[in-house]
Amino acid sequence: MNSLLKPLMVQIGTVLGFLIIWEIVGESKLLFAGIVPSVFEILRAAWLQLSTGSIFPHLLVTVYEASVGLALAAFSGVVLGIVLGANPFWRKIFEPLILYFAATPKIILYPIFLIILGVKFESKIAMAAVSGFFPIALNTIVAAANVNRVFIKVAQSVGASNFQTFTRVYVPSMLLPIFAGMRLGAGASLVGAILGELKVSNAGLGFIIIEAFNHFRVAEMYASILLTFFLAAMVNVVMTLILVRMRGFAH
Amino acid sequence: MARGRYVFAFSMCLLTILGLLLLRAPDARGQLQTLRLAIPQKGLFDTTMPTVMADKMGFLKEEGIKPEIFWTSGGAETVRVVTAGSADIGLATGTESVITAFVKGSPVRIISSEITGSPDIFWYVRADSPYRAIKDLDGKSVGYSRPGSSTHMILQLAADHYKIKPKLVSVGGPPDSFTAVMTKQVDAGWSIPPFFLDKVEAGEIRIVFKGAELESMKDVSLRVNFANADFYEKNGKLVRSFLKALKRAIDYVYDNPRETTALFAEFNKFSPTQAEAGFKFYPKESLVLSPLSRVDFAVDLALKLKMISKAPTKEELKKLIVVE
Amino acid sequence: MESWREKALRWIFVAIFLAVIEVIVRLNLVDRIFLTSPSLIAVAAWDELFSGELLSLFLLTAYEVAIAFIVASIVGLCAGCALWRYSLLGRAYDELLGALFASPLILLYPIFLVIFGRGINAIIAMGTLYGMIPIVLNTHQGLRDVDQVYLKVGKGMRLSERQILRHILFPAAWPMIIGGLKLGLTYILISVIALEFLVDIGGVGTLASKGYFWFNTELLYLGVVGAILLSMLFVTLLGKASARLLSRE
Repeated sequence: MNSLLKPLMVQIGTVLGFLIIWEIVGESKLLFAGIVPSVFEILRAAWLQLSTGSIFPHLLVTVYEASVGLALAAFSGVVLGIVLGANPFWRKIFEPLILYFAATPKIILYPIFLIILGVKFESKIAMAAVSGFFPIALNTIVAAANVNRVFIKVAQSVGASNFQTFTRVYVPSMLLPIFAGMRLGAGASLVGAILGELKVSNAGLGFIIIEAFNHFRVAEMYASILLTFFLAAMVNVVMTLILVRMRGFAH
Repeated sequence: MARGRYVFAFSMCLLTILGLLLLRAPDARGQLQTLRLAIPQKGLFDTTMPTVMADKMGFLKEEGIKPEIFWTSGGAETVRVVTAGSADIGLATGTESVITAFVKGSPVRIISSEITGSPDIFWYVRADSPYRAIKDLDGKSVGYSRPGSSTHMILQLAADHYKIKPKLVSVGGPPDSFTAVMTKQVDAGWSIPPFFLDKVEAGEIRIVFKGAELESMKDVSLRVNFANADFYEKNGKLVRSFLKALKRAIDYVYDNPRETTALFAEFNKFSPTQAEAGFKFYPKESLVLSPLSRVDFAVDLALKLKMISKAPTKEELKKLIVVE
Repeated sequence: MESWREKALRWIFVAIFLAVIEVIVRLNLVDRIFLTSPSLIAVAAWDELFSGELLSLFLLTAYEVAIAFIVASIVGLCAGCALWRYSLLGRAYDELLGALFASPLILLYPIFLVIFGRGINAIIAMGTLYGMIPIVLNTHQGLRDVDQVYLKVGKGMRLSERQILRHILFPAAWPMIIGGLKLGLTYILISVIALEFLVDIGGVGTLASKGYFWFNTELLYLGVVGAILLSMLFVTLLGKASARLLSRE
């Protein structure tokens, strides 16, 4: 018990220490006061946003964009992943290309989406989709490629059709890694949607963050960022819980 | 026989009533047409107040217009929103940006001037610094938003005019400028009403120079209102009705200063004193919708910034500018 | 190792893709506002290169990445060692840093802008943060994974802790550490380009932004392609460099 408690204490201690230093810096004249508002001010601003419900319409917009984007990313990622994973030849040709693109900041594609899809939700959905695509596709490729050859041979030897082989052998074996990829993809889609909302937008969590920044409502900005982080953490926790459940289920 | 007369009279009444109803029906069913507006810098006096006042006082409704506003964060973005077809009319955008879009083949038409001269931009220093007027800033660092912007232009023209050599530093928007000044990264920063007038009121900063003091820009239409060309072709009348409502609103704004100040303060959620101080920056002459003056200035600017590689011809400009 | 045949096929695919775009644009099948041809982009690239603009943008980005990497490496390596040395800290911070890395750090950039001002320093600070975390985590993990046997051997030879660290542990943990440095550098590059685009201060990321706002489709796609090429270059170079460094052991 002690060994579990100690790291937790250190973590809590670190967070508290950080907050205390923040308060001290904010009070002192080191940095200009507007930049480092008191922690209480930030928390108050966050509470205001929640209690007045001002954040919810924007929250809904972001979740909507990220969800649709994730769905698109999941579909295309899984399909492409299976095709490339099951075909070593095509995989060797195209996987490096996917890896190259994965290392590019997707936000650089945003103006193209703006031009083609317009300035409303669609361009943000595209951002979410492109961001979520890569972790899902890459994970699926590995998952499909690692399906135990023995099982496939066994299935084929007992006369299973292609479809049966796919559903009885491939799918169960790939489920976990694909979902692990989805977990990463969900976070990436969420961030992608928010990044799109930072420029040329009128709604969403990214929008309210930049609005607060533009009007120099610093505490409000910090509060919105905090709440956004909270959302991202929740999504991650939920996905992890599902993943753990699936692991238990698989065994 | 008598019955026949009654039937006749009754049918005539019925017909008359029906007729009246039918005549009235289009009026009652007269629906407002939605006009999608892209407006930059939500809260700024010149970009926001005319439209907001026109909406509030029902001028737009009287012209049969229902406004749908998409707020953007800057002029160039506004052009993109309109050319993409996501808005029908864009307001308050740098003339050079609209000209550039047109020259590059985008469907735009300039429908009116938005602001002439630069009465709104001002420069300030920390209250504890010794500078009082722009001449004191010789050799000191002064902030502007970004290369090619109107703030940049005004500073360069002012430096020429007052024969000073300040160090010009790109600092970004009013909040970034404020941070830069307060953290002593620059000696003077810029802003535009309503931003940071509260700090002036609180005595934290002091205004040392106003764009209005610069004569050479007084007759230049720096920003314009424009429309998507395809929309304009099909709905010219609606666009002109919009401008009519806008003009009425501008007249109303200056005829009713108290109401304007109250609305300005309410919209931006700041004090009436700040609203009044901000209002003072905008003389009525600068907001006239027509004429559109000194287009050559904007063309030169676009060339200088390499936004376009050659100037538009007279015919092209005639096609672009449909200001009445 | 991949055969030259696979490599060739890959580039043939890319070439066909580019050719198709060229044809689509030349035949005016799409509005020039949406898409422009690779040849025109290349022309724009040549012009920019010639005027020296491209070079200065590239140098600025490289400068930001370099500074961020140096700081992140120094802090990261030291912190990684510290986490290994003091196991309590190690256990506590592994989790914390892992959670931090999985969160949308990029959204903290307005905070950096506010604190550091709207300039290069904010970008470098953000990059440093992004790069530091994988370096710390990997260094710690690498040192931890070293077989206890080596430690025992070192102690048996009566080496001081410093010497053990330098001559035994570091070389053994080298692959993981290199991996961390590689990851850190990649994330630094991504965040720097992304921030340059978002904040519009300078460097390669601003090409796409400028191209979009100034209706210069060639410049826009040049910015996009430039960013992609830069990332590609990085990934390739890093791969080669780490292979070299690892093979030396």
